[in-house]
Amino acid sequence: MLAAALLFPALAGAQAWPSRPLHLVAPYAPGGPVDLSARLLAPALQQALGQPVVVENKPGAGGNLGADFVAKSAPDGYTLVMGAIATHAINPTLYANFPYDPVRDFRHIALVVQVPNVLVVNNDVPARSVAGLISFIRKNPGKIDFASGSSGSTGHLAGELFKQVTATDMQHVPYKGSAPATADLLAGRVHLMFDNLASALPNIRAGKVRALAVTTLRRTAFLNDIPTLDESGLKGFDLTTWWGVMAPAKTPDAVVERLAAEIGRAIDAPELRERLRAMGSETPAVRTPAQFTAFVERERKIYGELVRRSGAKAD
Amino acid sequence: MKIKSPKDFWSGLMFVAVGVFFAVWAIIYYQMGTAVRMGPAYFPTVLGGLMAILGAIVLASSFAPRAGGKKEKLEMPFNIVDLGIAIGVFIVLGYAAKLAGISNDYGMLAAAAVVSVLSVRYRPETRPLVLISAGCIAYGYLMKPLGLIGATAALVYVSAFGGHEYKWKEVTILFAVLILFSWLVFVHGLTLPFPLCPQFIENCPIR
Amino acid sequence: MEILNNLLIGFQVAMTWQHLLYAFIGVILGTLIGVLPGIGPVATIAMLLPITFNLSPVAALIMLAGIYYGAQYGGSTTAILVNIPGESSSVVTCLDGYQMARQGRAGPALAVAALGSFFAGCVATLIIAVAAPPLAEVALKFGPSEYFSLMVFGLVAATVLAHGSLIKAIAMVVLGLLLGIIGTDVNSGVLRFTFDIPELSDGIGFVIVAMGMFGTAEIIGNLELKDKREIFTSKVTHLYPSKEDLKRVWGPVLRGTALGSFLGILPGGGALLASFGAYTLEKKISRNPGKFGKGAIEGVAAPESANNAGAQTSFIPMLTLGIPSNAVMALMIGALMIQGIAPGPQVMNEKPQLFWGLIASMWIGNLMLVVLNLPLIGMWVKLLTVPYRYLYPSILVFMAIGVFSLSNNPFDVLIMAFFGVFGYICVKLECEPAPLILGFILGPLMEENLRRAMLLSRGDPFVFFQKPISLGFMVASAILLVLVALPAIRKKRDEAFVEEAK
Repeated sequence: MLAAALLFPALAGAQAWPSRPLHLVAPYAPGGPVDLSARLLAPALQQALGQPVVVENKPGAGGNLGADFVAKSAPDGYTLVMGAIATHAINPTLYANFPYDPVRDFRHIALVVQVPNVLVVNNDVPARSVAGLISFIRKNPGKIDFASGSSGSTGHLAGELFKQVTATDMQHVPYKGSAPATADLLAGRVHLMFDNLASALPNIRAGKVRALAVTTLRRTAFLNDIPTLDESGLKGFDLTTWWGVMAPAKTPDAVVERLAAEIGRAIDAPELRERLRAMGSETPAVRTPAQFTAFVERERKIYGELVRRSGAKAD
Repeated sequence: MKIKSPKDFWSGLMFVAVGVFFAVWAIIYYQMGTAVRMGPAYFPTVLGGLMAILGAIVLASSFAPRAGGKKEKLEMPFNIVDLGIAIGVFIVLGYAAKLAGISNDYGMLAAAAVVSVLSVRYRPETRPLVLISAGCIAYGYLMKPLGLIGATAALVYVSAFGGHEYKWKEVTILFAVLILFSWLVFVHGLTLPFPLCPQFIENCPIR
Repeated sequence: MEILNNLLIGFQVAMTWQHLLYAFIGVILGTLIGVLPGIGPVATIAMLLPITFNLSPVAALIMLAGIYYGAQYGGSTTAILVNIPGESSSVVTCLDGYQMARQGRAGPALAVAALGSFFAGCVATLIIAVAAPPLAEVALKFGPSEYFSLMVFGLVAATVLAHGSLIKAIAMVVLGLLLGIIGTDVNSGVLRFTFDIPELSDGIGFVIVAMGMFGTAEIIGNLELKDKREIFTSKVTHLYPSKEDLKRVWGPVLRGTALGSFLGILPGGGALLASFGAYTLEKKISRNPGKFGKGAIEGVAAPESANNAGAQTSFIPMLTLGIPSNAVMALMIGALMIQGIAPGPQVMNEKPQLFWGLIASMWIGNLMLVVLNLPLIGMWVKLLTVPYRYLYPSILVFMAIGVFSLSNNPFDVLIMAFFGVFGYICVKLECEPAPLILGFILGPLMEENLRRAMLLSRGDPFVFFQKPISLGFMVASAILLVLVALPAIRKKRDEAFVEEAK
């Protein structure tokens, strides 16, 4: 009896959450893919939890501002963040004064979106396969340009990894976002790009650019006949762009479990799943908070290494 | 040499100071690169230098006689020392807050308050300038602790005080109208995530 | 003809009750947020995105598009009435529009803005209907060298904006360029001039600078004048433009529309350059350029037509290539993608209802806007008669909310207050804010394109003179520079002669 009475407050505490609106911080400006996913998820979560889920944009510093804000927020389960590969795997090494620890300062609740990148080349480039591309680059040393959405983005780092693994030399040309980069790719001012699947798909389908490979280990359902870089000889090449819901480190386990369960249910539900698929994201393999934390740790190490070797810096 | 045009004198000085600052800072901290592969310091240095030169020209021209022989007047309610003091207060209190471990927000609020009080006391001509700015600053930094209601109150009352004709009853009515409108349009209509009630009130009755 | 056929499809789609309703909601909402300073179409569309999930793609796009170009109409209202640019492209309208309001001519200013925008919107939409794909190809021809040359031209044009000392105007442009550099350097990823303040790592927002230097500074200035301030009310003349106004205005409207239609196609800053460019053009070819900056109605008509034309044609890259010209387009692409439509080259052929329905709806939207806005002019003018002591705290509250809502960060409001003080000082020192704003916007773009052009050409500086379009703009800049400098030199020479003769 006493045990039950002692347990009761703990149970009551867990059930009392959520009793007021939640804030899901999107650490990027409105309209970007992270923000869009947050706005897609919020209504579903709102229905499941019975409390409004408000998306709050806190852009800046490549996402660090928003992530830092949540890392230092009260761990009461009312403030969450859509932590991304940038904020939790790349930026810690890219930025010199980094204000939080991506693994220890957060509870990693659920991975929501995982999108592969595609290696696309301009139609005038005489390469129809990765092997062809590599020999093309080797024949024109120092003359090949690859575009990316920004310094330190997955597109950039994918290119750097490609350079390292194939021992080729390309010049990196950063842009402000994937759109201007695509424009120059279409016009032939740059030769190739590692673009994320969703933005590259329309142009690939229209035949305006040529897709040579995808950066994940497995082929993507959207481009079934495009091989992976792993298949094309770059063994073990596995790069995705991802983001998911996270909370401050000391958030109670019960809250984390409940959130993970609800988010998992939401992204499995047909409506949200279809919309996320439209962004190029298939259901992620990482499903539990523990798996997610291990995933973040792994990514952190991989990208830390990549950034260091590529010499990219945000001072 | 007498300054024939104080406006040009101070503008010139401002341009020179800012130009030199940008150029020097860039040269020290960022890489120049070459003209062919420009580094991050290239543009700011060139522009800073250009601005310093332009500023020097303006500065020099401020000593030249004006067409028609008139002397221009500059009516500024504060002088450069006052400006320095105001900026200094902000910087000092900002660091003080950081050292004391409390959020920078309170440092900025305190600085705004200090500068407002000082200016109302010693330079009454600057009342509109200082109070309007202080009101805006108060709005921003009070939003989290005091919510939308508190922040709007601060802005409305402080900026009203910055004007020269105010009756408290009218201001209060204005405040009530503005809060209602803000709530309806921004929080309810556009679903902007502003906290309405102060932080210490746990469950806000209004949503 | 095929086009007539397509237009028929389009109108059939756009004229359903449902789509008319959504267009209407869109333009009303757009006007409202355009009027409210700070809150722009980007934030609003982002917030309304979940609502669009339950709509058909056509309805969603119609509504979102209505919000976008509706905001252009609304932005000019605040620019004229209270000197606060609701949208970045309304900055230029502040220059003469606000002066007209102070002279009691707010009515004609608002009317001309609305009518000019309507005309421009119609023409631009026609251009989209007729020539979207070829224009998109032209847009693709603009690479970094072309952009750079265009911006050099824009900067030289910026000096024309000033009506005071030329050297100080150039210095303000340079100051704007420097302020724009604050933030992350695209080409190297290095943070510049951020002084360890993380909020500055993406630079200072344009909205913040504009509201501080135009809005706050103006309020402070008005308060200082106390009773010496001309009360708006005493001089309100007619609500509508006179015949003479209309005669003066049709040329600027035509030219503004042409300029805006063309520049809007260019992704990145096109529409904004259009309004500045149109203003500069009018001032340069006008018979009495001295009137500009003091309430010349041409200075309202041209930029307003330009920015609305630009707003419409900025849809072209999105609809034909799937490349967004600005943040709003990026959002719309996102909205479409979530609906399962991938905007790109196929959309025109695979989904003609979407494409042509949108175009038809743009016409309808523009019509709705002008029908909405013209009668509202009376209301707006009445608003100006509210005693200033009620007006200015309200303006401040809306500005503060708008700025704060951008990224929920009080730092932005602090910066706005800072620029308010800075703007005040500039006005006292007779340094004009408009050239600074233009430099601020163009600076980072210029540098980015310059370095990228050099990167791609492997360090060959002559690339700017080798490509035809780029060469064209460079030559035009040189000519314009001479044209601008000539009167100034002549004036100095005349002054010198006068001094000698004395």
